[in-house]
Amino acid sequence: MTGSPTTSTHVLHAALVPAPALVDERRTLYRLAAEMFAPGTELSDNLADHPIVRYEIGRALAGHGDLDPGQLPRVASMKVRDAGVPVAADPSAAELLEAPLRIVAPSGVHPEPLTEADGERFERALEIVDEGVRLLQKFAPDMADDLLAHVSMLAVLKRETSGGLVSASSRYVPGIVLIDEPALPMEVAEALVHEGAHEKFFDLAIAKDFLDLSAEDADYFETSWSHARWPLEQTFAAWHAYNCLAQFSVSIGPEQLGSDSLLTKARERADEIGQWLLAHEDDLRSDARWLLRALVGDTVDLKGEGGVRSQVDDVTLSSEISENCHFRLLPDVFYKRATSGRVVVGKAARPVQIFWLNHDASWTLDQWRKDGAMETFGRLLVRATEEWQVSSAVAAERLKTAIGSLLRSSIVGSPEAH
Amino acid sequence: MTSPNQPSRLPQFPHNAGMPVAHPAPGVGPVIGQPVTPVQWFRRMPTGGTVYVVKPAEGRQS
Repeated sequence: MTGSPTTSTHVLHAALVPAPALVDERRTLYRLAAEMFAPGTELSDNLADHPIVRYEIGRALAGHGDLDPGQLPRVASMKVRDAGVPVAADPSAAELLEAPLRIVAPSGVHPEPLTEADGERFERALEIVDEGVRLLQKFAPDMADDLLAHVSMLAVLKRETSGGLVSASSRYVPGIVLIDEPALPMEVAEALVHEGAHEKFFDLAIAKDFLDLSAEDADYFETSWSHARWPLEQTFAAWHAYNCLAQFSVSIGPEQLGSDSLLTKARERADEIGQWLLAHEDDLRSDARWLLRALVGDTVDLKGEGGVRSQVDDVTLSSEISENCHFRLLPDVFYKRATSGRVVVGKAARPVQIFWLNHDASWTLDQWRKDGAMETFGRLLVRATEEWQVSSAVAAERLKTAIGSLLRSSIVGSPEAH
Repeated sequence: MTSPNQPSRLPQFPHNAGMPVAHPAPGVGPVIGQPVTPVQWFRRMPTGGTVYVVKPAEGRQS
């Protein structure tokens, strides 16, 4: 049974991970990557959030070249103006934002950002953006907090250069939203909901369990309204954004909408895509399935233990773990702990492999932090039983599951386990 | 204006900061994840792949 959502998007997002914790986990991942590519590099919050810094680190993580840490402060010092969100204002923004401008540009179009060099025209756009942010905060304050936490920068495109593009964001340059030169504050508010939802999704996708490589082999969704065909990742992102837009649409009442507004169509499209995703949910990872079912209001399979159990991989290795087994952290492993306690691991390979650990695995990894020496399962079990304050049997089961998963991912090694 | 070591407006969160939220619907709870989750997001880079664009010509709408 499915139907319209009964729970707000921001409530469900927070149930997965509160926005501040998600931002902190994202920063932790990028900081780990920066330290791996350029040892000694420390990213301030501004640097870790900057879309171009994330673009450069993302390129390196994808195996496309190295990271030049000397370049990062230059791009991050780009001047922005505060209009409720940081708005690109630097006269050299077209050069510094070359990557997102190129990526989102329709064929044959070369979008240019409005900057302070455009004088009054830029100031007028800045005022409309500021009013748009206020509208969003007025009509949907919780949603504004939830989504704007993931928008690090906004760039306004000169209308005559935007090629009909209304708003855009890209997985490759996360954190920046590009909008056409606005006429109405509501256009800005809607764009921030739409693209903010995508930015939220980008952060969830790198910190939680949403999609894996199999998404690329999944069926395509074909829209009934345009017959465009979308891969699973884009389908899920669109469904997520349409849900946020539908919720926002309910919030605003009889406000004047922009000429390209999707708000009146959002609920119907969210439902259409949601039905398709439910039929293809086996292609989604556990957190994405949970969000899907929770947002369509289907709680049938969510009862029981208070949550959805993810598809835990085969744990045959766990059964081979005995009291005297030795384990050590492998030498090509780097890791960093987020404020939430979760640990993100990087394995030095080409390309770098990234993993998030749950709390048990994070705790286990931390046991090697002092000297990198071998640890026996028996010694780890004594500590786990004490610190987790559970019975030895329960601790043993949890520890075996964690170590089994760490072994399978080649994060720890053991001379006894093969 | 922002610079690398200058506090920015977004997002700077005090310790234990959080948004007050209503309780999720009955039966909705946290996901019980597997111990190690690989991040396979950083696998493709531009130009190409998924770009999230809204255009009046709805063919590319997301």
